[in-house]
Amino acid sequence: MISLGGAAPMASDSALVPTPYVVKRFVCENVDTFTLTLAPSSGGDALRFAPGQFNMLYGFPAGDVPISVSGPTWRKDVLIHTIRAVGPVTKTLAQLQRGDSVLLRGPFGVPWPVEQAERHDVLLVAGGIGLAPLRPVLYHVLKHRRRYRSLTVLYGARTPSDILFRQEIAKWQARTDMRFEVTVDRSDADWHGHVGVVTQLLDRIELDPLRTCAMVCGPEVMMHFARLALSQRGVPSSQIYLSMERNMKCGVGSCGHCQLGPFFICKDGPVFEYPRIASVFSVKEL
Amino acid sequence: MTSVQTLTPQMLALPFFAGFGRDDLQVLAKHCRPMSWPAEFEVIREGQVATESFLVLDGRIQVQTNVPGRGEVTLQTLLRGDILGWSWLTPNASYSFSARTIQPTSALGFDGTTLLRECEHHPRMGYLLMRRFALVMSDRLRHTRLQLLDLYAPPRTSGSFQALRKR
Repeated sequence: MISLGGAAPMASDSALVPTPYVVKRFVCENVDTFTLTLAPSSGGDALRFAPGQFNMLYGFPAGDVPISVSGPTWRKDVLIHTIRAVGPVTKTLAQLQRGDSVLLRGPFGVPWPVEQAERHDVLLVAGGIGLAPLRPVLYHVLKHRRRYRSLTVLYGARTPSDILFRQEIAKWQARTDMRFEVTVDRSDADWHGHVGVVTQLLDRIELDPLRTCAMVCGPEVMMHFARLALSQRGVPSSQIYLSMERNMKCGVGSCGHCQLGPFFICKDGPVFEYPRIASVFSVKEL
Repeated sequence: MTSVQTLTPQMLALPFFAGFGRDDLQVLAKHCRPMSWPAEFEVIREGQVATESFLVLDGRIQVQTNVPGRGEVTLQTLLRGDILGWSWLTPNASYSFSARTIQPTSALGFDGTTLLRECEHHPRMGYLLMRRFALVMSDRLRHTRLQLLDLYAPPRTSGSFQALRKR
């Protein structure tokens, strides 16, 4: 069994006060998703974070939203966030230009168990924008490659044009020390890759179930079926981790917006070992 | 020509045949032939009389259909261990979709018509085989339902943010 723990940077009281950052880079990933590279306006170091943690980003005047960090943990100068423009705040953030200011506070939440997964086969299963919160895990494992056994990433996107981080994926696919499989739910005439849901790939990969640590991020239905497929393949529930999403506001478990049964997702999650949330995972309208 | 004796051990190593006895496999092997195709080869065509199943050993096959205005649309990719074609299980069947290799692909081909006759004569093997095909169909149905859910679809309120940036 792998237990969560480790030294994840946690927001102190002062992290409830937003810090100004400046947009250093804006990258369009696809039609509704973009990546912001942010540096502290003060010129100092950016906030430290652990893979899977999130920050609250302010899109003035619309409000703030929780966004997972999608960049590497070792970049001290910047924070990288990949954002899907789906609501008023994220659409406001989508209009930022290089040099614009944005307020940010964090980091919040329980991270992915990267230290506990050492000496295990690491399996990352991502659906849609769920690849962004898992990318820091991938960077971490690749940086400390010898500490881990095999590394497999299974990534499902809606269509070929929705695939995130295309250039990086091509580099990861060319590596011999990892496996990166991409599938799309719907193809077009130019796509010669895999077509089908991401759980289909799970059924086909070789697994050493007892030595596998699986981290899954995507829509809850996708995570539900991925978890089922992993359990059917013999991966112990205690070695399956899911990242939950709820309407997070304060980030410290005070406001109650993100309550899921007995948990506050912002504080007790977003990453959970599956047995912890098994009882509430499939409850409707929680 | 590949003999039954050569094919049987190969089949034993495939998950699709887990649970089949050596005698069952020898019966199946009589109606099975190893096949290999180059990339871009049309293995079956939509509307053709359905007579065969193919168990993919290596390579990739796309299951496709022609959609007017969109051309050949790929519905699913089949990899090692996957089955292509079960339409022959139903009477007077034709293939519902076309299938084309993406890369050089090898498979075991089974003659469905004669397999059905063998199932009549060897009910235990026939039962196992039907259960195995039921599993394949059930997996395919589950995955298709998930595809239909369109899990990564944008919420109704979203749209291209690039239009916002142009304002």
